[in-house]
Amino acid sequence: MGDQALAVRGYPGTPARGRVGEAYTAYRLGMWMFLASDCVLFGSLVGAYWGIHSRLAPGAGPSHGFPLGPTTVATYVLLTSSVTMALGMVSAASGKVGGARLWLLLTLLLGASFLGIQGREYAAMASHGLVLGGSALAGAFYLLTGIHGTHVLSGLLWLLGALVNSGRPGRTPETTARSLQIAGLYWHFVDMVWMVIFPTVYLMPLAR
Amino acid sequence: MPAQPSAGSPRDPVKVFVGAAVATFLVTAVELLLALLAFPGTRPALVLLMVANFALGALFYQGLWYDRPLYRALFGLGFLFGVVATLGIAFLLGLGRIGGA
Repeated sequence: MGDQALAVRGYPGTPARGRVGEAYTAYRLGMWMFLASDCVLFGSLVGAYWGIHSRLAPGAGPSHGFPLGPTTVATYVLLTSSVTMALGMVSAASGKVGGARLWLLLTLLLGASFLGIQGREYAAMASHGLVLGGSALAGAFYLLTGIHGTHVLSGLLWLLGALVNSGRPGRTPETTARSLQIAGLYWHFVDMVWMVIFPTVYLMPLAR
Repeated sequence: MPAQPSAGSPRDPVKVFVGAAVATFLVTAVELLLALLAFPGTRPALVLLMVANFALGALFYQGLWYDRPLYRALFGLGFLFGVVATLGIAFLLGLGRIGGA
């Protein structure tokens, strides 16, 4: 697919020209490098969780004795937030800043809902005695899901900043589109990581 | 003046993103179903579906299918190292070679 076709169709990640374009390319490259390094971070955490879980007796683990329902809802909420983010990026790339801001606001609400559900889940787990220092598995669970939650929180702050900035005087639709494209890369990655954490932590112990 | 995209174009980004979303929703639902049914041998299927969901996200949401080759290579390398870290740490922890007995 040619660059021109991408630009016409309003795809995120469309090429940019000039000094601003060079800066955007550098930011985009930096974000891809960061995401690549984050793959190693989350890979290590998932590996630690698998390794510790493999030493446990069958049937042990946080997914047993805790309702799967809220986490499933949270998973679909996060998945939906990726759709709204993508639609916001498309709107911004098409020059529709108002539409992009609405999609961004919806993404923020969905992301905050995910964190709220996760917070409630933590409280439920603590009431069942699964606290951070309680066991190696609890430590691995809280580290994995907590670092992911921190990523979600960072993403929310970033999106909030992008939302506020998009309304500032002097911002062009082009600069808004570029900043959303970089933020979108991060947000989608956070969503993808959860697509690995959810089966690993909550579904694998149930399967045989 | 470049031509405007046609409404029915297969490259329409909205359709691509919504299609990817539907696919990830379905894959996640199948994962849940498999885990809840707990048939013997469902774990490998769950791993495959998990990889499918990650690939769908990377290709269509992250945009690896249209982005620059350099970005694809960088992310691919990071992903590869991530897989090595996952398997290496899980294997060594499972063996009890790291993290105590």
